[in-house]
Amino acid sequence: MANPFAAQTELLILRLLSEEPKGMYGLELVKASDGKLRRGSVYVTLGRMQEKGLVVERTTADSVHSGLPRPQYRLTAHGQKVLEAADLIGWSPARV
Amino acid sequence: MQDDENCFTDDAGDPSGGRMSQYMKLINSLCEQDRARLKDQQAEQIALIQAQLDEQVQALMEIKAFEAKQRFLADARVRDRPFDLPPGVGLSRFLAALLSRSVFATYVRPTIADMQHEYIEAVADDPACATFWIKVRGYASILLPFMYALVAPLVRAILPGSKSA
Repeated sequence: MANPFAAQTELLILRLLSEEPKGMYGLELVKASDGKLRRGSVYVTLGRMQEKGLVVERTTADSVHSGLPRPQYRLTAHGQKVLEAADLIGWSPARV
Repeated sequence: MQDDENCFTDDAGDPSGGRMSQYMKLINSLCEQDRARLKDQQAEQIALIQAQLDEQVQALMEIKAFEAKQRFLADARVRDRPFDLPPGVGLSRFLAALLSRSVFATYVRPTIADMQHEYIEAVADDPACATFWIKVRGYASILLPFMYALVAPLVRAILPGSKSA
Protein backbone atom coordinates (compact mmCIF):
# COMPACT_ATOMS: atom_id res chain seq x y z
CA MET A 1 0.00 0.00 0.00
CA ALA A 2 1.38 3.36 -0.98
CA ASN A 3 2.02 5.72 1.88
CA PRO A 4 -0.25 8.75 1.50
CA PHE A 5 1.47 10.86 4.15
CA ALA A 6 5.19 10.83 3.67
CA ALA A 7 7.93 8.99 1.87
CA GLN A 8 9.34 5.90 3.52
CA THR A 9 12.63 7.65 4.26
CA GLU A 10 10.72 10.45 5.92
CA LEU A 11 8.77 8.02 8.06
CA LEU A 12 11.97 6.33 9.10
CA ILE A 13 13.31 9.71 10.22
CA LEU A 14 10.06 10.43 12.05
CA ARG A 15 10.32 7.11 13.86
CA LEU A 16 13.93 7.70 14.83
CA LEU A 17 13.13 11.21 16.06
CA SER A 18 10.13 9.94 18.06
CA GLU A 19 12.53 7.73 20.02
CA GLU A 20 14.72 10.72 20.91
CA PRO A 21 12.63 13.56 22.42
CA LYS A 22 15.67 15.80 22.81
CA GLY A 23 16.23 15.75 19.06
CA MET A 24 18.95 14.36 16.83
CA TYR A 25 21.66 15.66 14.55
CA GLY A 26 21.65 14.61 10.90
CA LEU A 27 24.73 12.46 11.33
CA GLU A 28 23.15 10.75 14.34
CA LEU A 29 20.13 9.92 12.20
CA VAL A 30 22.41 8.43 9.53
CA LYS A 31 24.20 6.30 12.11
CA ALA A 32 21.00 5.23 13.84
CA SER A 33 19.39 4.16 10.55
CA ASP A 34 21.84 1.29 9.96
CA GLY A 35 22.71 2.44 6.46
CA LYS A 36 19.16 3.21 5.34
CA LEU A 37 19.88 6.94 5.32
CA ARG A 38 22.81 8.45 3.43
CA ARG A 39 24.98 11.33 4.55
CA GLY A 40 24.53 13.15 1.25
CA SER A 41 20.74 12.87 1.12
CA VAL A 42 19.66 13.12 4.76
CA TYR A 43 19.62 16.91 4.79
CA VAL A 44 17.73 17.06 1.52
CA THR A 45 15.09 14.82 3.11
CA LEU A 46 15.13 16.80 6.34
CA GLY A 47 14.75 20.05 4.39
CA ARG A 48 11.73 18.61 2.58
CA MET A 49 10.28 17.45 5.91
CA GLN A 50 10.76 20.94 7.33
CA GLU A 51 8.80 22.37 4.42
CA LYS A 52 6.03 19.87 5.19
CA GLY A 53 6.10 20.83 8.86
CA LEU A 54 7.03 17.33 10.03
CA VAL A 55 10.24 18.33 11.81
CA VAL A 56 11.72 21.50 13.19
CA GLU A 57 15.38 22.35 13.46
CA ARG A 58 17.17 24.18 16.22
CA THR A 59 20.72 25.38 15.65
CA THR A 60 22.75 26.10 18.72
CA ALA A 61 26.42 27.01 18.91
CA ASP A 62 28.54 24.17 20.22
CA SER A 63 30.78 25.28 23.05
CA VAL A 64 32.98 22.19 22.74
CA HIS A 65 33.72 22.15 19.01
CA SER A 66 34.97 25.02 16.89
CA GLY A 67 33.22 23.97 13.68
CA LEU A 68 30.03 25.30 12.17
CA PRO A 69 26.94 24.95 14.38
CA ARG A 70 24.93 21.82 13.65
CA PRO A 71 21.17 21.86 13.43
CA GLN A 72 19.33 19.49 15.74
CA TYR A 73 16.02 18.14 14.47
CA ARG A 74 12.94 17.42 16.53
CA LEU A 75 9.54 16.04 15.75
CA THR A 76 6.66 18.50 15.49
CA ALA A 77 3.10 17.75 16.62
CA HIS A 78 2.16 17.31 12.97
CA GLY A 79 5.04 14.89 12.48
CA GLN A 80 3.89 12.93 15.53
CA LYS A 81 0.37 12.66 14.06
CA VAL A 82 1.72 11.51 10.72
CA LEU A 83 3.75 8.84 12.50
CA GLU A 84 0.72 7.67 14.48
CA ALA A 85 -1.31 7.52 11.29
CA ALA A 86 1.41 5.46 9.64
CA ASP A 87 1.29 3.10 12.61
CA LEU A 88 -2.50 2.81 12.27
CA ILE A 89 -2.28 1.71 8.65
CA GLY A 90 0.50 -0.70 9.53
CA TRP A 91 3.30 0.91 7.62
CA SER A 92 6.79 -0.05 8.73
CA PRO A 93 9.97 1.80 7.80
CA ALA A 94 11.75 -1.56 7.74
CA ARG A 95 10.81 -1.78 4.05
CA VAL A 96 13.03 1.18 3.19
CA MET B 1 128.89 -5.52 75.13
CA GLN B 2 126.73 -3.39 77.21
CA ASP B 3 127.76 -0.47 75.05
CA ASP B 4 126.85 -2.42 71.93
CA GLU B 5 123.41 -3.06 73.34
CA ASN B 6 123.10 0.61 74.23
CA CYS B 7 124.01 1.68 70.74
CA PHE B 8 120.73 0.20 69.40
CA THR B 9 118.63 1.77 72.10
CA ASP B 10 120.24 5.02 72.98
CA ASP B 11 121.84 7.43 70.51
CA ALA B 12 123.51 9.35 73.31
CA GLY B 13 125.83 6.52 74.08
CA ASP B 14 126.23 5.42 70.50
CA PRO B 15 129.68 3.87 70.12
CA SER B 16 129.36 4.00 66.33
CA GLY B 17 129.66 7.78 66.26
CA GLY B 18 125.94 8.57 65.68
CA ARG B 19 125.39 6.03 62.89
CA MET B 20 122.06 5.05 64.38
CA SER B 21 120.99 8.64 64.39
CA GLN B 22 122.06 9.02 60.78
CA TYR B 23 120.24 5.81 59.97
CA MET B 24 117.08 7.06 61.62
CA LYS B 25 117.43 10.35 59.79
CA LEU B 26 117.83 8.47 56.55
CA ILE B 27 114.77 6.42 57.30
CA ASN B 28 112.87 9.55 58.22
CA SER B 29 113.98 11.28 55.06
CA LEU B 30 113.00 8.22 53.00
CA CYS B 31 109.67 8.22 54.73
CA GLU B 32 109.32 11.90 54.00
CA GLN B 33 110.13 11.25 50.38
CA ASP B 34 107.62 8.39 50.27
CA ARG B 35 105.03 10.59 51.88
CA ALA B 36 105.81 13.35 49.45
CA ARG B 37 105.69 10.94 46.52
CA LEU B 38 102.44 9.47 47.82
CA LYS B 39 101.05 12.94 48.26
CA ASP B 40 102.06 13.76 44.70
CA GLN B 41 100.45 10.55 43.45
CA GLN B 42 97.31 11.31 45.42
CA ALA B 43 97.31 14.82 44.09
CA GLU B 44 97.69 13.45 40.57
CA GLN B 45 94.87 10.99 41.16
CA ILE B 46 92.70 13.70 42.65
CA ALA B 47 93.53 15.94 39.71
CA LEU B 48 92.69 13.07 37.32
CA ILE B 49 89.40 12.36 39.10
CA GLN B 50 88.67 16.08 39.11
CA ALA B 51 89.34 16.26 35.38
CA GLN B 52 87.09 13.24 34.77
CA LEU B 53 84.37 14.80 36.89
CA ASP B 54 84.75 18.03 34.99
CA GLU B 55 84.41 16.15 31.72
CA GLN B 56 81.32 14.34 32.97
CA VAL B 57 79.83 17.57 34.24
CA GLN B 58 80.59 19.16 30.87
CA ALA B 59 78.99 16.23 29.07
CA LEU B 60 75.95 16.42 31.34
CA MET B 61 75.69 20.13 30.73
CA GLU B 62 75.93 19.53 26.99
CA ILE B 63 73.21 16.88 27.23
CA LYS B 64 71.09 19.22 29.33
CA ALA B 65 71.71 22.04 26.86
CA PHE B 66 70.85 19.71 23.95
CA GLU B 67 67.66 18.56 25.66
CA ALA B 68 66.74 22.15 26.49
CA LYS B 69 67.37 23.12 22.87
CA GLN B 70 65.24 20.22 21.64
CA ARG B 71 62.45 21.23 24.01
CA PHE B 72 62.72 24.82 22.85
CA LEU B 73 62.60 23.78 19.19
CA ALA B 74 59.62 21.50 19.86
CA ASP B 75 57.85 24.30 21.72
CA ALA B 76 58.71 26.69 18.90
CA ARG B 77 57.29 24.25 16.36
CA VAL B 78 54.07 24.03 18.35
CA ARG B 79 54.03 27.78 19.01
CA ASP B 80 54.73 28.78 15.43
CA ARG B 81 52.39 26.21 13.88
CA PRO B 82 49.57 27.95 12.02
CA PHE B 83 46.15 27.56 13.61
CA ASP B 84 44.60 24.46 12.17
CA LEU B 85 41.15 25.30 10.85
CA PRO B 86 38.67 22.46 10.45
CA PRO B 87 38.12 21.36 6.84
CA GLY B 88 35.40 22.95 4.77
CA VAL B 89 35.78 26.53 6.03
CA GLY B 90 36.80 27.90 2.64
CA LEU B 91 34.26 25.73 0.85
CA SER B 92 31.44 26.89 3.13
CA ARG B 93 32.38 30.54 2.46
CA PHE B 94 32.44 29.90 -1.28
CA LEU B 95 29.12 28.04 -1.31
CA ALA B 96 27.52 30.62 1.00
CA ALA B 97 28.36 33.26 -1.59
CA LEU B 98 27.19 31.04 -4.46
CA LEU B 99 23.91 29.70 -3.10
CA SER B 100 20.91 31.40 -1.56
CA ARG B 101 20.94 31.73 2.21
CA SER B 102 18.06 29.33 2.88
CA VAL B 103 19.38 26.67 0.51
CA PHE B 104 22.86 26.91 1.97
CA ALA B 105 21.57 26.80 5.56
CA THR B 106 19.22 23.88 4.93
CA TYR B 107 21.26 21.56 2.74
CA VAL B 108 24.95 22.43 2.57
CA ARG B 109 25.97 23.93 5.91
CA PRO B 110 24.73 21.00 8.04
CA THR B 111 26.73 18.59 5.88
CA ILE B 112 29.89 20.66 6.26
CA ALA B 113 29.21 21.04 9.99
CA ASP B 114 28.89 17.27 10.37
CA MET B 115 32.22 16.77 8.59
CA GLN B 116 33.90 19.38 10.79
CA HIS B 117 32.57 17.88 14.01
CA GLU B 118 33.56 14.39 12.97
CA TYR B 119 37.01 15.67 11.97
CA ILE B 120 37.56 17.56 15.24
CA GLU B 121 36.61 14.51 17.29
CA ALA B 122 38.96 12.32 15.22
CA VAL B 123 41.83 14.82 15.52
CA ALA B 124 41.48 14.74 19.30
CA ASP B 125 42.34 11.03 19.14
CA ASP B 126 44.95 11.77 16.43
CA PRO B 127 44.44 9.03 13.88
CA ALA B 128 45.76 10.72 10.72
CA CYS B 129 44.28 8.10 8.41
CA ALA B 130 40.81 8.50 9.95
CA THR B 131 40.87 12.28 9.53
CA PHE B 132 41.87 11.84 5.88
CA TRP B 133 38.92 9.56 5.18
CA ILE B 134 36.58 11.82 7.14
CA LYS B 135 37.58 14.68 4.82
CA VAL B 136 37.16 12.56 1.70
CA ARG B 137 33.78 11.25 2.87
CA GLY B 138 32.67 14.71 4.03
CA TYR B 139 33.54 16.46 0.77
CA ALA B 140 31.89 13.67 -1.21
CA SER B 141 28.70 13.95 0.87
CA ILE B 142 28.57 17.70 0.15
CA LEU B 143 28.23 17.00 -3.56
CA LEU B 144 24.67 15.67 -3.44
CA PRO B 145 23.07 18.52 -1.45
CA PHE B 146 25.09 20.95 -3.57
CA MET B 147 23.71 19.43 -6.77
CA TYR B 148 20.24 19.37 -5.24
CA ALA B 149 20.57 23.00 -4.24
CA LEU B 150 21.53 23.90 -7.81
CA VAL B 151 19.08 21.66 -9.66
CA ALA B 152 15.96 21.82 -7.46
CA PRO B 153 15.19 25.51 -8.10
CA LEU B 154 15.60 24.96 -11.83
CA VAL B 155 13.28 21.95 -11.78
CA ARG B 156 10.73 23.84 -9.73
CA ALA B 157 10.88 26.77 -12.11
CA ILE B 158 10.50 24.57 -15.20
CA LEU B 159 7.84 22.13 -14.00
CA PRO B 160 4.29 23.52 -14.14
CA GLY B 161 2.44 23.66 -10.83
CA SER B 162 5.52 23.31 -8.64
CA LYS B 163 6.19 26.02 -6.16
CA SER B 164 9.23 28.22 -6.70
CA ALA B 165 12.30 27.89 -4.46
